[in-house]
Amino acid sequence: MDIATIEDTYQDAIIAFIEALEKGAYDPVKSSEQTYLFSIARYMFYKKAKQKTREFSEISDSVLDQTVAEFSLEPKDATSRRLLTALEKLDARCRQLLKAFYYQKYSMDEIAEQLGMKNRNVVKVSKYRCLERIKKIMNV
Amino acid sequence: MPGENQENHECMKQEWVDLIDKKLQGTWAEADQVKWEEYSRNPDFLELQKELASFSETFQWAERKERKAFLKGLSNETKSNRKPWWAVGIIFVLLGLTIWIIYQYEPTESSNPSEAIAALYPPPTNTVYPRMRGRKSLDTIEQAFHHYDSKEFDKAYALFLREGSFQTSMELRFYAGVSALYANMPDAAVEMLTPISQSDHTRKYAAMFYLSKGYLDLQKPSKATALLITLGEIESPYQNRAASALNRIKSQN
Repeated sequence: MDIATIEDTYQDAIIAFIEALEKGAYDPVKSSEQTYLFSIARYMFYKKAKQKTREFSEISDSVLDQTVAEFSLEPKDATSRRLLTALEKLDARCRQLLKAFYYQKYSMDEIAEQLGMKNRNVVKVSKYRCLERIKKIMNV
Repeated sequence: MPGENQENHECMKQEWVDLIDKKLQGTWAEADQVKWEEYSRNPDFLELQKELASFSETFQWAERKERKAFLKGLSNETKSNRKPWWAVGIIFVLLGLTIWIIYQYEPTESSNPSEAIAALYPPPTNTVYPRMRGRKSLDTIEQAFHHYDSKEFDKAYALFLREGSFQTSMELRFYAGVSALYANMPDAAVEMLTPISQSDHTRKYAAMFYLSKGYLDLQKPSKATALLITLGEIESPYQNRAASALNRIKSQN
């Protein structure tokens, strides 16, 4: 394995670890941060080398498999790829609004408060306009 | 009619978006099913539904790309004008340093909350009530905040529960959780604060901080310490307080 691949895998492991923290998938009682991070990295290395892992940590392969299986840097289906490209071209405000609603699952009232909008109706109309914009970008 | 036809084939319709949002949010009513079946005959509706359903995952990928770019940038900065093995060396040194720092704060199960630690957790100031004045439908919430300000946390918590808005508002959920915490109901507090601590809400770090008190009250110091270590590494108004709480816990062992 070359150095670039090693570096790349470590970066992916760090991102997967951060996501596990955010989703609450990491349980500090079961393992320490460093054990969890190194286990993900090790598991990713073995996956890349197409070798079976040796279970020498307290985290089972099935747990790691789930964490690593969900990890990829590019969407596999065409719709998500087109959406991702369109999202990157969308203005920051719209991106923030759509992210708050569809990803962070905030309510309309919470979004209104956070983005300094008058009320939920303003959020609703703005969200619709943002969706129209993204649709336009996707159809160009 | 051509105009009517065009209207029927419009890709975006507010009604469609509302209906799909309802399904995604789980606020689906039986009556919506009829509409759904009707709209589903239109391929544009089906395409829109697929796109909106992909949003959550797509944002995840967008975030991953940003993080990857950040890490690559860091790595390139490290590598510039250096031989590749230097970069690997630096990664190992940094990882070693991280482990050492974490070991410095390694929790032990025997730590116990004391008054000194409790002093680090004053109830957060109510910053919601003044903004709620004049809103007709929020009478119960106003009463809850009145009790909260009077430090009658059990009454405040009961009213937050009765009113029920904490289920849709993280802000109110936060105060409900803190009320439970100071009403000596750490189990309820942990249940209320955990979702906020795992979200990206503006109260995230505050929720993590008070959640750590909940775990201390429940005699689960390792969970509290893990939260405080995380908080201590993130720049937020709770960074220093988390470090102080950690030091107090350590000094008690």
